[in-house]
Amino acid sequence: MRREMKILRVLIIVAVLGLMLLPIKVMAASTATIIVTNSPYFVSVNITPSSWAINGLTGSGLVNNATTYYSNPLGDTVSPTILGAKDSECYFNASNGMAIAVDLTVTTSDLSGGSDNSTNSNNGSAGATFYGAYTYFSGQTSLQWVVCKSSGSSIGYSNLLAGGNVNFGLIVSEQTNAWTGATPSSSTITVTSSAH
Amino acid sequence: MVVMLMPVAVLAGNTATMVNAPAYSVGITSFTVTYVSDTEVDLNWTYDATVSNVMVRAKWGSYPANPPNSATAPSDGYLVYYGSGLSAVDTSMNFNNNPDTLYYSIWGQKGDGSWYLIPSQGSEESREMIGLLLGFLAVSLLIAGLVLKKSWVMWFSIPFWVILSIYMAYYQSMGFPASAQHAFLFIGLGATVAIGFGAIRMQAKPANEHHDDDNLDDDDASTKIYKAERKKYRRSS
Repeated sequence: MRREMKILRVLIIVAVLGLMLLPIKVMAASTATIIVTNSPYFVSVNITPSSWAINGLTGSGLVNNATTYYSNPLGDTVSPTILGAKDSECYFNASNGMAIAVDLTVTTSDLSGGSDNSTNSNNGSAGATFYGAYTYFSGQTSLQWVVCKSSGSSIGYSNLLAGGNVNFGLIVSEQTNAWTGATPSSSTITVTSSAH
Repeated sequence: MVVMLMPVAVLAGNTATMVNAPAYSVGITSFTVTYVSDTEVDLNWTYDATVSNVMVRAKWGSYPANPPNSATAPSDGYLVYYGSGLSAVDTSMNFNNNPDTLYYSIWGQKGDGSWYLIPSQGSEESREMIGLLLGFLAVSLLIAGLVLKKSWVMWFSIPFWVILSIYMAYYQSMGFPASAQHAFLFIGLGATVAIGFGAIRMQAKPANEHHDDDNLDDDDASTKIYKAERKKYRRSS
């Protein structure tokens, strides 16, 4: 009897050990390799030229207050065609050198460093010490021209294809109050691209 | 099992600079006021294409006041010039009689007759007081050196003679004829140098060569020793 109990005890121990090892084997058998691939889309755009003197394409380079100027090579005070801006009416060019289509957004910072530092009104209209700005892209009608804000502008051009480029321009309405000095101020035009 | 994680990095694109140069003008682009003499001040100016005439006005003690609006011509002070020229000579003053400062303002008048309200300005004052002050310092130091028998005081007047001569040469006139100025400077400089050399020579003599006690130079160490010994001798005798 005692001998049978010993045998039974050994069997139980073996069974328990067997049960303990079994799941380990099962788990080992169910493991698979996970490959994580990190492939960022590096979206960028290049714009040329890198500077624009307002009223300096065909004019004197000096600007009057309460006047609207265009980055139009055909004339600094000549509006692009409202039924669809032409390439020849756009001073800037944006090119997409990447492998995906992108959307373009244009912003202009406040004018600074001069005797009259106008602030971007962010609504497209000029006011006292405020300038207003719009962006137009080639082919767009005036209804599609987008307010150029100091930040958070709407998309100005959608779906610029990979390797493609598009011409665009800016419309700046100068502050309504008189200048107080002759020192030039400057602003940074930033074109932000995002995957379409 | 393969998991593909494909983020889209959105980066700011390129930038360009937009330059805004205000077409701001006060009409007058330069204005120079030059002292010629106590009775003459020369005025020169330039103006841009928006100006058809200019008006120059002068006033003693302060700048002539601006007109109240662009439709009103300036009227404060006295009129020096009105027209389309680029220079004028004001001989109405006499700084000898009035050593105050004379202030000038010039305004541009546009083709439509309206006036720029921001004038260019300049001022002049008599140079005579500065010249006289320099001369006074130079002569005073020379006399002080003679009276005190201090050669270094006389030498100290030399820089003032030099500054005075440059000042006179630059401003041409101080109300004296040029020959009188030159003679004044020549005599002053010559006297200073001569007296300075004489003082040095006197100091260089040994103490036992002094016979006239009153003319001894106190700076001379040998003189001090001589005086001290003389005093000691007198006490003992």
